[in-house]
Amino acid sequence: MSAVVVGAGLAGSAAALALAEAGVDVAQVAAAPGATALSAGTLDVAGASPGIPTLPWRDALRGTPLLPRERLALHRRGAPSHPWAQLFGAGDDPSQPEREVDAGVARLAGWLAPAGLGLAGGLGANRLLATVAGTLRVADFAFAPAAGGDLLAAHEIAVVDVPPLEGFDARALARILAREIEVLGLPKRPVSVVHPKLPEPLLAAPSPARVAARLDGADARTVLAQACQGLGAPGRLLLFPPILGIAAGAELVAALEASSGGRVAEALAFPPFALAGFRLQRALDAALAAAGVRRIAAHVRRLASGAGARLRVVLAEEPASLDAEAVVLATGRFTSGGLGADLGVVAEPLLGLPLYDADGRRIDGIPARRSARKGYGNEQPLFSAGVRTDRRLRPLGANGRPHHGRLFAAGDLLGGFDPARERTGLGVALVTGLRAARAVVEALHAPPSRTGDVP
Amino acid sequence: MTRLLRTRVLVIGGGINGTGIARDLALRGVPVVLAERRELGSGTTWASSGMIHGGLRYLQKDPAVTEHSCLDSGAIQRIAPHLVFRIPFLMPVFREDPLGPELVEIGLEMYDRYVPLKNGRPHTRLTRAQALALEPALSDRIECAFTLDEWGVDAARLCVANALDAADRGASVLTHTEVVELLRDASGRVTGARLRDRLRGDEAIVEAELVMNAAGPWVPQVAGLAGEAVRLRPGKGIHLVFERRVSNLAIYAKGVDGRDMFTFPHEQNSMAGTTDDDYYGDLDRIDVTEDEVAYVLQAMERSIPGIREHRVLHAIQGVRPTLFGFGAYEDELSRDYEILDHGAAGDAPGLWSITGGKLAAYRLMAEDAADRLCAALGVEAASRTAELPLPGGEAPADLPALAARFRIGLAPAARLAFRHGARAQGVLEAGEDAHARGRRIVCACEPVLDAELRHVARSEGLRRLTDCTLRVRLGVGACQGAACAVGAASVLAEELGWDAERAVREVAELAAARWRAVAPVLAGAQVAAMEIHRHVNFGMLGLAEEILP
Repeated sequence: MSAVVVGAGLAGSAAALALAEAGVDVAQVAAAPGATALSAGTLDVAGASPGIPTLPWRDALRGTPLLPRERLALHRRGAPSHPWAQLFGAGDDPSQPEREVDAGVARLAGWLAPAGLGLAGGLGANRLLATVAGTLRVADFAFAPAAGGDLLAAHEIAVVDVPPLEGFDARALARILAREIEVLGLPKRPVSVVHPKLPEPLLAAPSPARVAARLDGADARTVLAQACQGLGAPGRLLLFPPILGIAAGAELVAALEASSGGRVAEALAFPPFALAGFRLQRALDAALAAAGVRRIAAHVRRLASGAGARLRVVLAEEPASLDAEAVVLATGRFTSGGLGADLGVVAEPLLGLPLYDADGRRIDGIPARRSARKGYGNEQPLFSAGVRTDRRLRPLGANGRPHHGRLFAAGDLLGGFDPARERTGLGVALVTGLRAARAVVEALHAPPSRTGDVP
Repeated sequence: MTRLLRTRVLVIGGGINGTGIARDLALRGVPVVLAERRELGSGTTWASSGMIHGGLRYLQKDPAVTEHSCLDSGAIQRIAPHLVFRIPFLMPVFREDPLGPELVEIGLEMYDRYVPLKNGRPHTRLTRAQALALEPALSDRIECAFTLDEWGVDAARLCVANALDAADRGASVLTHTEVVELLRDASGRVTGARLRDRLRGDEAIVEAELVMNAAGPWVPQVAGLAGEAVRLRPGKGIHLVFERRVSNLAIYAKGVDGRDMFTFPHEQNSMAGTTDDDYYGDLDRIDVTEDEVAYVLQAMERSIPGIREHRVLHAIQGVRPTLFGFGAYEDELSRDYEILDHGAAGDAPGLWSITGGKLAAYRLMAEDAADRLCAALGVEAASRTAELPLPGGEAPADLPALAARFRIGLAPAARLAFRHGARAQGVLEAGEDAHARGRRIVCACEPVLDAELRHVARSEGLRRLTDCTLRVRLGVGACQGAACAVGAASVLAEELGWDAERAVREVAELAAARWRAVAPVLAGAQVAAMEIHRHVNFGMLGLAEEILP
C-alpha cells in the first residue's frame, strides 16, 4: 500500500506521519516549507471571529469568556462550508470534535517531543499570551517557549531587552502590555523592562533569525545566561523576543531559567520574526524522518492517472514521477502555492480544481483583483476560498463529484473558511491532516471496485 | 476656544505648489500660514511619476513648457541634490512605429538643445544588439533604440523640504487642517479663512491680506467657497509600482492608442505609467479600475515582454489640475500653468488661484506666483529659491562615515541620507540613547530606522502613521506594513503621546489604506503577501473590529 502526500506543512506532515504509523508506504513531496513555517507559535482550533456571535479576543476576559470548546461548537453550527461543519455533522456525537482535537494534539505532542518542542494548552481553558508587539492574544494551544508565557499564571512580567534588534522595542512592548492588561481588567501585574548586562550586542547586524542562530552556539548561550543572572524571581515571567535559539531552544530556555531564577517565555512572533514556525517545521521534519517517510524535494507539476487505478504525481525534478494508490493534497493556499494567481488569475495549479469561497461562490478562473472587495475588513472571497470536498475529504470536481476516488485534501487548501480572521489555522490543518490519513487507510483497505467514481 | 492667527498670506494646499510658494514667500520675509487638508504632498504631487523631466512629450506643442521644465530641473538639482537621482531612458523603435529612427533622432536632437539646462547627457543611438545587451528586459523585436537622460525626485520629500524651510523662516505649516470657509469683509474682499483641524476637531481663524489657493484639483472647490468659478480639465493618472526593479533603465512604451508611457526605476522600485483620462468623480476617493491596469500592462508588454511576470505591489493614482481646454484629447492639453487674481478676473479680491503646471517646473511657478503676490503686497524682495539649498541640500553626506560611526548598514545610511541629506547625521545623533534603540531597523523593506521615525515626529510635524508611507516610505514595500506597522506606531506613540487606542487605530488605518492601494492590482506573489498581511492584522493583532468598514 502506498500513498503520496503533497505538502510539508502541518496538514501534510500529520497525514504522512499517521499514514506511516498505519503501515502505509508513504512519500512526501514538497519544494519548500509551507505556511506552517511562518506560523506564530500558537495552534488554534476555533479562535474568536467577527463572523460568529462570540466575544472578540479583546473582550475575552471581560464578562464571561467563551472557552475554546464553546467556540468550536459555534463554528460547527456556523457556516455550512466551514471544515468544522463539514467534518462534524449535526448528527454526530456533540463531544466528538473535542475528543478528536484532543487526540490529535496528543499525537502531535508525541511527534514533536523527541525534538524537544513542547506543546501545551487545551480546549477547556483560555490562555493569554503576549505578542512581540505587546498586544494580547487568546490561544487554544501554544508551542514552547511561547506556551510558558501565559499571563494569567504570572504575577509580574519583565520584558527582556536585547538591543538593537530589528523589529523589537522592549519599552513599547512593556507599555502596550501594561495597557492591555488594564483594558482587559486583569488583576494588576507589574510590567517592567530589564536589561541583561551583555558584554556587547549579540550581533552587529541584528536580524532576529541571525541572533537566534547565534544563540544555538554554546558560547553565546552561556553569555546570555550569565547576563540574565538574577533577573528572575518567583512568579516573575521573563518575556523574551522570539530569538531563543533554533535547534537548541529547549536547552537555552532551561539555561536561562536556571541562571535567572524566573520563568522564561518568548513573545508570540509575527513578521519579521518567524522563529516559532521554523522550529515547528524542523521538529515535524525530524519526526517524519524518524517515521521513515520518504521526503522528496521537488516541485509537483500536475497529477495524472497512473497504471491501473493509481494516481501519478508528475514532478518537475527527479524522480520524474511517483505512482501511488492514494494522494493527499496538503498544498495550502497562496503563501505556499496551493493556490496561485499567476498573471492575476486565481487557480488551483495542479488539477485546476474548482475553488469556492465561504459563501459557496466559485472564484477560480477570475482575476484576483476582481474578487478583491473594497474595505480591508470586509469578508474577502479570495481569502476564504479553497477546494470543496465530500465528507471523506475528497476534493470535488466541477461536476460536484469527487475528482478521483483516492485523492484527498487537507489543511488550508480546504475552502469555506478564513483562517486569518477566524484563527482556526493550524487546528484545521492538524485535524484534517489526520482525517485525510484515516480516509486513505479506509480507501486502501476497501476493495478497489468500492472506491468507485474514478473519472 | 478658537485660535486666531494673523499673517500676510494664507496658502491653501500643501502639495508642491503650495509648499513651493510658502517657501518662496518665507525666504522673502513674508509671513505665511500654510493649511493642508491631509498630509504634505499627498494629492497630485504624490501620484506624479516623481520625475523632474524636461517633457520630451511637450516639445512639439509646448516648447516653452519643455524649456521651463529643463531650466527648473537644473535648479532643483542644485538646491536639493540629495533628493534627486538620474534616470537614464531607453526609447526603443519598432518596425511598426509611425516614426522611424531618423525622425525620432531629429526630435531627440531638438531635445538635446534643452538637455544641458538640466545637466543631462545628449542622446545616443544604439543598435539592436547594443540595446539588448544593455537592457535584457527589452523586447528582441526592436529595430534600434535611443538613450536620453532624465531625473527623478522623491516628490513627497520635496514638499516636506520646502515646507520645513518655510517653517524655519517663520511660516506656520498646518497639516490635516481644512478650510471650512473663506472670510469676506463688507466689500467682498477675501480676508482669510476659518480652518478646522481634522484630527483634533478644533478651529482656527486665519486673517490674511491675501489667500493663495494652491489646492491642485481641489482649486475649484476652494474658489467656490468665495463664489468663484475656476475651470479645470481634471485628468486622472495612475502608476503601477513594482517590487524592486523591472529593468535597469527606464524604457519607453506605447499604449494601444499610441500614447507614450514608460516604466522607470524609482527609489527602491520600478514604476509604470501613466494614464491620462478626464475625471469628474470624487476627488477624495479615486479608484483605480481594472481597465486602467490592463491598459498600462498591455502597453508595457510591447517593450518589456516579461512585464506580467513581475510583481506589482500597489497602484498610485491622482488627478492633474490641468488647464481647461475644450475639444482636445487629454494628452494634447497644455501643461502650462495659470495664476489667477480673483480680484481682477472675478469678484473676490484678495483671493488668488494657481492651476496647471508640472512638478519639474514647480520652483519657477512658485517664483512667478510669489512675484505676483509680492507685487500685490508691496513687497520688493526678490526670490531666492534657486540659490539657497533646501534643508539637507547644503552638502553631500559621507555614507561610509555615517554607517561606521552609528554602526548601521550602508543601506539604511544611504536611504536616510537620501531623504535628509546633510541632516542625516543630526537625525542619528538625536536618536541615540543608552540602549541604541535609534539604530534599530523598524521597516526593513525601505529600510527605515527608529531614529528617522522619531525625527519626523519630533522635527517635521508628522501627525499620522499612514503619512509615514509618504514621509519615509514605510509600509509600501513587499509586506505592505505587516512587519513594521506596529513597531512604527509604538515609536510614534512615544513621540506624539498617543494612547493605546489611538495607536491601534493608526495601525488599522494604515492596514486599510494599504489594502486600498494593493487590491486593484492584486496578482501573483502579492496575493500571498496580503494573505500574510491578514494573518498579522486579523489573526495576531485582532484588528478585525477596528478595520471593519
